Formats: sequence, structure tokens, C-alpha cells
Amino acid sequence: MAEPAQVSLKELEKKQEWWWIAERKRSKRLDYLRKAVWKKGALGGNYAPGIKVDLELPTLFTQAWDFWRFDPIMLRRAKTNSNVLDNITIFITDHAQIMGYMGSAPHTITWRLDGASMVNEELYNEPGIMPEPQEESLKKIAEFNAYWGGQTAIDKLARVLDPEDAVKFLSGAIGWGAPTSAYGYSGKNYEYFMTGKRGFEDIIAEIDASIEKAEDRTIGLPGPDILPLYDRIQNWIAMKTALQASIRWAKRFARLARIIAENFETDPKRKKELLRIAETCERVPAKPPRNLQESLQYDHFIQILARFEAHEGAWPSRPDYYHGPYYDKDVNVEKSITKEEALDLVGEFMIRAYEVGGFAPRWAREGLQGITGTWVWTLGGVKQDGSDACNDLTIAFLQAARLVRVANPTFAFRWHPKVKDEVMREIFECIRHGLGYPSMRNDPILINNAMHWHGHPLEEARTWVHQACMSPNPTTKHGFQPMRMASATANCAKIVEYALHNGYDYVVNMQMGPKTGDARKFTDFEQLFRAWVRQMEWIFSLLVRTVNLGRYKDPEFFGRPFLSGISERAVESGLDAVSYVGERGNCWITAFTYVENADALAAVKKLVFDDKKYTMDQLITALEANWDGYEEMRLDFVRNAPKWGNDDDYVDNIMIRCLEECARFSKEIKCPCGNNWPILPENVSGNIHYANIVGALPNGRRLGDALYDGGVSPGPGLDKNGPTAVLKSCGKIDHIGHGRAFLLNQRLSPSQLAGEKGYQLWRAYMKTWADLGNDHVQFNMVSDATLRAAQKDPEKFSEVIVRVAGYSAHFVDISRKTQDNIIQRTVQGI
Amino acid sequence: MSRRDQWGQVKDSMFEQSTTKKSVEEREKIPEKACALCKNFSENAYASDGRGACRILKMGSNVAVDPPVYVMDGEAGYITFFNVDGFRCSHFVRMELIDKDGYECADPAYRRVQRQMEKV
Repeated sequence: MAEPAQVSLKELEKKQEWWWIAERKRSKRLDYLRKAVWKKGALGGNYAPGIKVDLELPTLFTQAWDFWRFDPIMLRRAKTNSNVLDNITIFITDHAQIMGYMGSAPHTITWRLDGASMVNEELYNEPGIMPEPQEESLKKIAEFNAYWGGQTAIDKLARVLDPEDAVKFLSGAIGWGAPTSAYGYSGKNYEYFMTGKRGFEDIIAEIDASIEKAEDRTIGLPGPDILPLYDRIQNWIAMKTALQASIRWAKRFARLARIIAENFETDPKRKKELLRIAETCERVPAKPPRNLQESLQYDHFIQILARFEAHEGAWPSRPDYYHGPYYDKDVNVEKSITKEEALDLVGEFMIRAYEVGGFAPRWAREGLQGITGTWVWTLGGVKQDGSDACNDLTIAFLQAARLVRVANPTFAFRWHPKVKDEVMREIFECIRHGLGYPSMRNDPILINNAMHWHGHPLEEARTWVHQACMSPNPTTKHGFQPMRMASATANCAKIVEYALHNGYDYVVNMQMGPKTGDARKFTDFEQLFRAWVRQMEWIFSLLVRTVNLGRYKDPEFFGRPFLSGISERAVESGLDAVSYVGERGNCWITAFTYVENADALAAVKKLVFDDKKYTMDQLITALEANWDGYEEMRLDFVRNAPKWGNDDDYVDNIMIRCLEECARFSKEIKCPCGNNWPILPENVSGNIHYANIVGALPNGRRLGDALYDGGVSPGPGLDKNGPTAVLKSCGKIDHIGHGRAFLLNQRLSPSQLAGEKGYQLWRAYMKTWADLGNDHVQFNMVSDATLRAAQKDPEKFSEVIVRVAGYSAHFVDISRKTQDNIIQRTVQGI
Repeated sequence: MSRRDQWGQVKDSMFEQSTTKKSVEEREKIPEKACALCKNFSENAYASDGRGACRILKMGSNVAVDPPVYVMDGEAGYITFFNVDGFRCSHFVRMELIDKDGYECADPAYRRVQRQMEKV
């Protein structure tokens, strides 16, 4: 779609068509790179036309994996990945300054074929992504699948999981994710490798010293104490192999850039850039970075290298904090680059992350429509001494976001009382421009929360980054969590559904939960509530059991040599980074579709047990019929039962009571490190994925209706008492003691929040939010008119971004049901 | 049968398809009365490799043998796959509405998004 050149910036601003403004304001380089990037996020549940699965990587991987079959798993993976890194096709995009992708071409998605056979089978059956000629590709994939069938990480885990747990988990009714680091997401030990103190060569020297020390003992006095060292030496060799291969891979980019510069490039400016790229890739990751470009490149290389090793569904990061000193040195002190040049680098750093994508199973695509993973980058916050961590790069990132307008990465801002007004204004501009990010996080609350649930010391808690959408994770030696799996994600609406149906699931035709009694015979609310508590404990226990076992067995079934090589405790101990030994613990249960429980329980209490308007028998009959033939009754349950988010103690007390039960149980279930499993209510687009899987509920919902969108957000259109009432309801939650974090979506009116007055209104709203002790809020500020216009004319509005839940997406990339769900959310006047 | 054995049977049927070696021809074939074309087939929301559960039959059933084994009681549904041939199954009911477009999200009742289904 061509830019309406005749329209002035002022007019575009008035029409809130921010994407045209971005196009005019960004540099030619950023404009080219933004338009040249291949979008890997799914359109609804499908990959975009033109996206193809990369078959070069699986070929190189499988050949080497088979060749090195007699090696221990970590070393086998290190050598296998080395074969990939040494041989996979690399490329340099025109005008790019930051290098590195996992595929052999920019339009490819990578395939993690050692993760799960069922995903491999899904890939074979997936429409649209086979490279041409399709027949040849299918034959190749069938051969890969025959080779990997039975020996993937999940195949191995399934053999040891309790079969009942395995079946119920794989039913798709109560949870998702895969309990292996093949598909998990790893926190990173940034305090080890990103502080400028060491590059990979320094780490290799540390590893060599450890090997030497261990070998002194293994050729010394025999005894049981030296026996573990034999395995650890193999692990250290694996880490070293992985780091050396990474350095070689980076140097391949240096060589390529130099070859192009010296033989092909005719533009002297670009030639100079290519030589700088060569110098950068020769420097990092081998040695610590010296300037902003090297620092961003170092970080990007590490993120990509981690994705050569595992799928990595999230991107925990704190770019302003770790790259800020280099920005300051280059732009403010040495003035070696201008602000505009720095902005180009920062914008491209975001675009390169946007480009990243691997083949994801359908549940992941549906749950994260429009994106490939939760790249939620953390900005702001405090330093370890408690002082404000915001810097000039914080502002540069916020400005770059408005120029490149990618949906992934998004930012989450650690707000605290010392944040300066100029930073808050930049944040507000991003929200006003409809990006849906940054989300706002209450830093003092979340630091206390990290100390409360997992016992992180204050200075470590202050380093926290978002491990995925929402959960804080320190970046320190004992605090960082190298393996988190989405499989501790509970489809919580099933709790109340099972409590009402004696644990039976009519959608998957299975006795899922415990038999907690025939709800038709319940005579008071307490009986129903007790059933609810038992079903909650059952769902949480089953999911946590599978994740705990997955984590415990991961070093044996998968192995992470690269991740270990950048993790201080692994380099020190010789254990796989994923081993729970030496970790404090930072687990959480992601509680999808949570608020339905409060609204459903309140509806039963009010209309059945208090008002005695209906009997339990009538209610269960109506629910079993999916409310079909009971429309009047259904509307009564929608309209006349209290709903969360209206500052109504009747339902709010039920919500709090449920959370108290979850918090109690969170301390009874333990992770492999022995630490707690607090809950974290949020959805990505899981509320749509589960819409046809959760049956009818007493809040008036039917099978197929979208579930509520947030973790503690009221149901769309059900919050009728204004934004302060929403905040007050949410403020009744103990945001430290009840769970790990609580996601709140809010829609604000773009016209009300225009100009200085709008900013001041938003600041006042944020003050109330903070005063009430809420830990999270994020905003959609795109009008209904724009969203409806985008539904009608998607091509014209292809750049409209919305906040879905813990992430943002281009509006045209999400399914119609998800679009409608966003439009239905109440626009709050503040 | 012990609890472990009963559920082990279901688990094995879940993993059977993805760990059995098959040729391209076998993979591409959609029988006339494939389970995916039956109204009683509920596609699994976790994996889109084509697995699903029967809404009528319970674990222990087997529609691939002659004569088919029908188990009507039990705690878990019969696990089957989209391309299993149900021509002998007396519970096969052809479904009129099939959603082959994966744009809208998971609907176990109607969605059949496997590439091979495009040909049907």
C-alpha cells in the first residue's frame, strides 16, 4: 500500500495512522530493513504465504547426530551443532549492520527435529510450508521422521512419565507446552556474560582451568569423590566445543562481509560498513564488546546461537541496562556515532529479533497468533544498588520502537517512583501510537514478590528481567532459571468446569479430574467450592509433575552445551546448566482463563444458593446442553450475577478466596530445586485457542465463546463501573502474596488521551494503579473505528498493532475471533 | 488390568503413529471413510499431527481390525488418527461441515487442517 504522501503529518496524527508517520520519520536504512523482513508469526493458526521450512539445518543436524552417536548427549549435541554452524548457509541482508539468523535463507523457519516426534509428524502434515519441489521435500521429511521417531526428547520423557499423567496432559484440555528444554525458554545469566568483563575466549580459558583441575584429580588418588568428574570433563569439553563453534560461525560472517566489501561492493559508504561488520564479527563473541554495535551484535549472536540449540520460545532480555554504557560511551562521551546512527542500530536490533522464527506446533501458533515467541524485553527498573537504571538508551529503544513498529519484540517497563518524567513521556508516546507496549510493571512490588516466593536476595531480585511475558527472573548465577517450560500452563477454566461435572471432560471424552461428587446434589456453595479446590489441586499437581520430571531428566534426554557455556554455575560445576543443582528456583504456573472461575462461582452462589432462583439440577442440565434451549436463563446468569472488575465485594471476595487457595497450594508443590510454584494468571491468545475446548460455564459462556482475555482483566464488556473500579478490584489482590504476577489489559480512548491533557490523565491513572499496589497493566489505545476499518480493509491497515495479552501483534495477523474479542473490550474513559 | 496398564494402553496408542515408520504413499493416503471425515472424531487440541479421540468409543476399541472391537465404557476415549480407515466402523457418520482452514483457531469438532485433507 502506498503512503498517502499528500497528507500532512498533522493530519496523519489526527487520524492516528501512526504507521505512515513512522515511515516518514525513520531512516532509509530502517525503512528498507523493516519492509524487507519476513514475518514468521502465524496468521491466526497458519504460516504466511512464502514462509518455508528450512531443510538444510535438519540435514546437517541429523547427519552429524548420527555420526557422533557414541558420545555422551551434551558432547554429541555440541559436535552436532558445530557441524551446523560450520556449514549452514549464511547471508547478509542489504543495508544490515547486525548479523545472524538460524535458517539458511531469510524466509525460512527452522525445525527442531530432536524435540518431539509428534511435532515432526505435524510438520509433515502442515500445509503451505514445504519447499519446492514439494514431493522431494516430503520424502526427505518422511525420512527424517523415520530416523527421529522414538528418540526425541519427548519420546524419551513419555517413556518414564506416569501413563495417566501423559495421556491427560497430551489430551490438550488442561495444559500446553512440552516438558523439555527443546521447546522451553531459558533465562540467561546476563550478569556472567553481558557485563563487558568476558567474551567466549575468556570463558573457554575458565573451562580449560576447570578441566585441568579435574584432570589432576582423575589421574590422582582413586576414590568415590572423583567419579562424577569424568562426566563433568565431558560436559566441559562440550561447552568449550560449543563456544569455539560459535566463534567460528561469527567469523564466517566477518569473512563474508569482507569478501563482499573487497570484491563486490561499489558504494564506498556501504563498503566501509561491511568492513566494520567484519571487524565486529571478528571481535564478538570471542572477546567482550567495545562499542554499541559490538555489544548489540554480541547479544544478538548469543540469542541466535541459543536458538540453534533449542527452540527458545521467549527472549528474556534487558537491553537498555546491558548495552546502555556502550551507547553512553559512543554517543555522549566519545561521540564516535551520532544519536541517529545509534537509533539505526537499535531499530535494526529490534528488526533482527522480529525476523526470528522456528516451526511451532499449532497450539503454540494459535496461542501466540501473529508472533513466534514472547520476545518481551525489559526496560527501566533499578540497578542493584536501588538507584534508577534508566539511561539514554532506554529512551532510544522507546523511540526506535515507534519508528520500526514491530510486534515482536515488545517492551515491559519496570516502573518505580524515581523514573523521570522524560522517560514516562516516551512510554506514553509508544502507548499513544497504538503499539500496545511497553506494558507497565510495578518494580517495588515485583522485587518484593521475587524475594517472597523464591527467596532471591534483594540485590539479585533487582536484576530481574521478564522470563517470558510476565514472570520476573534474576540474571544472576543462582537466580537465573535456564529452563522454563510452558507446560506448567493451566487452562484454569477447566477447574470450575470439572467441579461442576464430577471431573469429567465432555470435550475430550475422558475422566480427567478426581470425582468430586455430582454437582446436581450440592446443597450449598461450600460443597461446590471444596470441589473447586480439589480440581485446582489436581490440575496444578499434574502439570507440575510433568514439568518437574522434564526438568530433572533434561540433561539426560536433551543437553544444552551452549547455554551451559554462558552460564556461570555450569562453567564452574561442569553440570548442564539445566541441572537444578545450584539454582534457587523460579518456577510459576501460568494460569490461563482464570477469571472465569470467579465469575462462574459467583453466579452459582448468587442465583442458585443465595437467591434460589434456579436449582443445581437445572443449571447442570443447561450447561450440559451448552445453554441450548435455555437462552433466557443464560442471559440471567450473564446480566444478573456479579462480575469481577466492578469493585463488587460479592464476586471480588470469591476471586480472593480462590487466589488464597492457590497461594496456599503453591507452597505445597515444589520444583526440583525445592522452591515454590506460585501462579501467574495471564493469557496470551490462549483464550481463543481454548474457546472450543472449555465447555459451557455458569457465567453464561457457551462452548466456542472466546474466554476472557487477561489474567485478572474483567470479561470484555462486563466491567461497567469504570477504570477505577477495575483497578480497585485488582487492588484487592495481594500482588506479592497471592501469586507471581497478574496481567491486566485495559483499553483507553485515543481521543481522550490526546495532547498534554491526555498525558496528565494517564499519569494520574498510573498513580492510582501504583498506589493500589497493582503489579501490571498494559494498554490498547486504538479506536474501534480503526479496528473495524482494518477488518474491512486489512491491506490498508496492515500495520495496525494491538495488545493481545502478554504480547502485541499486528491486528490483521490474528484470527477474526481474536480481533472481535479485542474490539469487545471496554474502552475506559479515565 | 492395573491403572498403569490401562493408561499405558492409551499412551501407547497416542505415540504409535509418530514412532512408526511410514512411506510417503502411506502418509498421503486418505481413505474414503477416514476417521477425520467422521462426525464423532474430535481432533486433539494439543497436537495437530492428526491425532484425535472418538466421541463414542472408549479405550480398548480398535476399528482397524476385522471385526472391529467396540468398547463403550471406560475413562478415556479411543485414540485414533485422521487417516485411520474407518470403513468397518459401524459408528462412522460422515460429517458435512469440515473446516480445512487453520486461520481460525482450534475447534476439535470441525477443524481438519492436515495438508492431506486439502485433496478430499
